[in-house]
Amino acid sequence: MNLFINAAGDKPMYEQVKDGIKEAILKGELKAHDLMPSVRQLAADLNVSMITTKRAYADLEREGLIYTVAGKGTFVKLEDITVIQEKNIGEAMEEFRKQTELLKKLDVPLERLESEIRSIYGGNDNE
Amino acid sequence: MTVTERKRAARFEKVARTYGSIGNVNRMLVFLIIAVLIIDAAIFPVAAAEDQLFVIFFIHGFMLSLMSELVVLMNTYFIGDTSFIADTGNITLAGSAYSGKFLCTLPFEAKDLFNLRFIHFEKQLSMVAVSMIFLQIAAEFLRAMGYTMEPEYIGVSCLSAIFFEALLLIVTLTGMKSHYAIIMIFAPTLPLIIFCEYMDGLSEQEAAEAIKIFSPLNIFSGVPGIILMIIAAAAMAFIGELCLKHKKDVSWNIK
Amino acid sequence: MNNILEITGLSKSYKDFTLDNAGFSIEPGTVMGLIGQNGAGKTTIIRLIMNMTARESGSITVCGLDNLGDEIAVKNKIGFVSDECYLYFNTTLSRTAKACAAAYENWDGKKFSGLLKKWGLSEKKKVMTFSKGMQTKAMLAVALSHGAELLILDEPTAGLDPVARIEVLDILREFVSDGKRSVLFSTHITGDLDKIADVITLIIDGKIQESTSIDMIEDKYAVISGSNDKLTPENEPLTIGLRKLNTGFEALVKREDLSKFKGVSTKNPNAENLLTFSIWEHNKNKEAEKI
Repeated sequence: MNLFINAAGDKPMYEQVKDGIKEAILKGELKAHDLMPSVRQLAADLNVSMITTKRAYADLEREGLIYTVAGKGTFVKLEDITVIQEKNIGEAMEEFRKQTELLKKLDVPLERLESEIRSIYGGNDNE
Repeated sequence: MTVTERKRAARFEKVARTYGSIGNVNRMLVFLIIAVLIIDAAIFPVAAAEDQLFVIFFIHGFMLSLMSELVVLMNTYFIGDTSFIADTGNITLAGSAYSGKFLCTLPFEAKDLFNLRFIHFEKQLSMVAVSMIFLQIAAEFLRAMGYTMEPEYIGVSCLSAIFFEALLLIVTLTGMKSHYAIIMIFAPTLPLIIFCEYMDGLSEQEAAEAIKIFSPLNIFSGVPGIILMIIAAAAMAFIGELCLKHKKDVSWNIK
Repeated sequence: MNNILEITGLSKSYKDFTLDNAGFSIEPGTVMGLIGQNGAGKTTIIRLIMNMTARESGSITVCGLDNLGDEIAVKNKIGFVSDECYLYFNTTLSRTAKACAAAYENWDGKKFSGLLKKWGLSEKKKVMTFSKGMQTKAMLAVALSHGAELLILDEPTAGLDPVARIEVLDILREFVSDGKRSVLFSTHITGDLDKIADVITLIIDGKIQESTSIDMIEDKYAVISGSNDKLTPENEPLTIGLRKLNTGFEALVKREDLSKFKGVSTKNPNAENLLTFSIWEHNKNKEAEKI
C-alpha cells in the first residue's frame, strides 16, 4: 500500500490517511478481506500519532469500507469497489453542478465551458 | 517516627551511600570519639593540671558537640542538600549534578530524607550526652585526685553543649539550608572563644573569681548533672519526634 | 481504568511567575506533548509532579494515586528523564544500577544492562565522562528498567543526534503500544511531537490554553496564508496570531471560519503552528490590554 501523507497538505492528517487507503482500495492494491496493518504499525510506518490512524480507521469503518475482527485485525470490506467509485463520482458531479451553476450566474457562455471540458478530456487522450 | 519509617530511612541511606559519596555517620562519630580519647591519652600524662582541665572542659565539652554537628551537616550536604551547591556556586560541583536530584526520582518519600536527618541528629545527640556525662564523671575523679575543678566550668560546658544541640535540632526540623545552618550553629562559638581567651588571660586567682558568675550552673556537676543531661537530651529528642509527626507534605526542595 | 496522570487546579507562585490553576489528564496508551515557551510553566509542572518542590494548591494523581500521599508507589510508576542530567557525575552506571535495585520494587537489571550495551554506554565509566546525548540515554535506560507506567521526559531529544532522536521516538511508540502506559513529553522540538504525540497540551504564561488530541486540533484549526489584500475588516478579527509581512500574511483560523476567507491557501496545522500562533495572539492581547 502506498500512502503519501503531506504534512503541508490542507486536509487533516487522518483524512489524508483515510483518502489514501480509499484510493488503495479503489486501485485494487488492497483487495477484499486483505489484512490491513494495525493502527500502531501504520502510525509507526507513517511517522504519525496513533490517534491519526485510529481516527482514519474509525471513519473508514463507519463508511463501511473496512471491518475489525476482535483479536484478529482489520480487514478490507468491500467486494465491489464500484460502490466507492459511484460515491466519488456522485460527490464530484454535485460539485461540478454547483460550479456550473455559479459560472452560469456569472454569464460565462456555454461554448467556453465546453472548450474547457474538451481541453481537459482531450489532454488525457494525448497521454 | 514509626518503625517502618525508621527502616525506610535506613534503606534510603543505604541507597544514597551505594549511589553517591555520603559518609557513614556512625563510623565518623566513632572516629571522632577515638580521636578525642587519643588526645586524652597523649596529653594527660605530660600536661600540666590546667591544660588537663582545659582539655576536659574544652574538647570533651562543646568542641565535641560542634565537631560532631559538623559531621552530621556534611552528611546532609552529601546526601543532596542541593541548596548548598546551588547557592554557594561551588566550582567543583557547580557543573555536576548532585545526588539529591537522583534520589528524588527514586521511590522514597521526601520525608524519608527528613527522617534520616533526624536519625543522624539523634545519634549525634546521644553521643554528646554521653560525652557530657563522661565529663562530669571525669571531673569527680580529678577532684578526688586533688585537682581543683570548679563546677562552673562543667556547667558552662554542659549549657553550651545543650545550646548547640538545640540549634542543630532547629536546623534539622526546619530543613534549613546547609550554609545558613552552618552559620547559625558556628556563629555562637565566637563569644565562647572570646570567653575562653579572656579566661586564659587571667591569673589563676582572677579566673577563679570570674568563673563564679556562672555558679547557678553548678547543678550540672555530679549526679544531678548527669540526670539533668539525660533529661535535656531526652526532651530534645521528644520535642523533635513530636514536630516530625506533624510534618506533612514535605517536598524534596530541589532547585 | 484510571487515567495515567490527572492534574487539577495546580497552582504555584514564584517571584515573577505564577502557575495558575493548571489541569489536564493523560489516558492510558497516550503520548502527550507539552509545549510552551521557556518559562511558561512546563518545567514547573514536571517538578511538581516529581515533588521536587511543593505545590500551593491542586492535586496530582498518577494511576489514581496521590503523588504526595503515595509518593513511594507513584515514584515506582514513574520513569523520569530530565533536561539536565540528574545522575551524580562522580558515579558509574553500575553503582547506579545497584542503588536502583535496592530502591525500586521491580528493578530489571538485565533490561538495564541490555539497554546500556545496545547504546554503547559503559557501566564502569563515571557519568561525567559521558556526552550530553549519552547522559540522556543513561537516564532513559533507568526510566525504562523498573516497570514504569508513566514516562516523564523534559527535552529528552535536545542533545541527541538525528539517528538517536528517531530511536528514542521509536522507543516511546513501543512504550505506549500496549495501551496501558503513557508518556508526557515536554519539548521545543515540535517536529518530534508531530510524529508521535496523540495529545497536545499548550501552556502560555502559566495557564493551560489547550489540551486536545491532534485529530481534533486538525479538525478545529487550519493555517491560512495569502496576500494582504485578502484580509477584510470582517475576517481579520477571526485570525489567531496574525502575522502580516510585506510578502503577505499568515494566521491560524478556526476551520469553521474558513469560508470567510477567499483566495487564501490552507494548510493543516502542526504543533509548531499551534504554539507560535497562539503565543503571538496571546502577546497581541496582552499589548491591547495595556492600552
